[in-house]
Amino acid sequence: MISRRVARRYAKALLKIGQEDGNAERYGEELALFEGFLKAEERLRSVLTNPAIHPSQRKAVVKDLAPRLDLSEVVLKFLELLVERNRIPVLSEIVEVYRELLDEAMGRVRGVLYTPFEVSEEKLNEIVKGLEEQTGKKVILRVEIDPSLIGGAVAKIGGVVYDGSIKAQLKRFRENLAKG
Amino acid sequence: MLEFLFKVVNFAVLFFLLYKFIKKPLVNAVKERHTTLKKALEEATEAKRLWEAKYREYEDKLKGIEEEARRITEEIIAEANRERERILREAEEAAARIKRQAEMAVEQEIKTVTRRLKETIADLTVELAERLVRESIRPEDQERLLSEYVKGLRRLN
Repeated sequence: MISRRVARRYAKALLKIGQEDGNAERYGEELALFEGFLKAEERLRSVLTNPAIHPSQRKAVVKDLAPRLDLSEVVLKFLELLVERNRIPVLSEIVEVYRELLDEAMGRVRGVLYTPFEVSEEKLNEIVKGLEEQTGKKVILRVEIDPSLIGGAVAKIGGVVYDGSIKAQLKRFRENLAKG
Repeated sequence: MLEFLFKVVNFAVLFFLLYKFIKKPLVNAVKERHTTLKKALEEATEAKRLWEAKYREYEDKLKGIEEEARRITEEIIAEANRERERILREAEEAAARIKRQAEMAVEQEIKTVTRRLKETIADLTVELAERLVRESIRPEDQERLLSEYVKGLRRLN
């Protein structure tokens, strides 16, 4: 909870800069890229989070990585600040909060679409449109395959579930049968 | 004749002397005897009176005891009757309660069995339906289902 609060503070600060210079989307992507890289490179993570290594040396590592990951100057400075203040352990949460804040600012929501089979691009667009009409916001959907649904689809956006799966229909059918 | 006279005089003198010296003690003795007897009689009379009084007292008490015994007996009988009625009433109530509980238990059991049966039937039916759907569903069915899904989303508005 505390780390979430800390993450929010840093994410808001970076978002403010991004909104001012019009690069908010880019900063979010760069931050997510660096965070993914850090997850994959355990040794790099242990170096950047090791307080025994001087901050200037850790910052030098980040600076060295920046061109290879094509990080902007702002994101580099932001990461250096995180290293300096030993906030690298909350980077994942910063990325998450940043995305939430950016989505909110851009009037969009993210969700997951579960289906038992692959969905065609055309059908996915129709679903997204339907969900956008429902939420009144731009919807960014991630598709996940879930064979247990049998047929149809389930969309989860925020705390709302739009369930149109065969599994749910069978469940309702079972409840009605059991009620008699 | 003289001898006879002498005997008479002698007797008279003797009688006189006896009268003179014995009369008083004899009278006293008789009086004392009379007094003793009278006293004894009075005492006996008094004792009789006392015993009679005691007898009446005991007789009254006995009557009271009999009355009390009869009253206690009546009370015991009345109490026994009340107790019998209470026991009978409680037994009837308990029997009714047990019957009611038994009926409820049977009713509950029937409900539970019915519910379980329905659930089992529902489970088996849904299991069968799921298997049939899984076996028969084709890509065009999924497309149709997704179209229905989109329509459903639009209908929510």
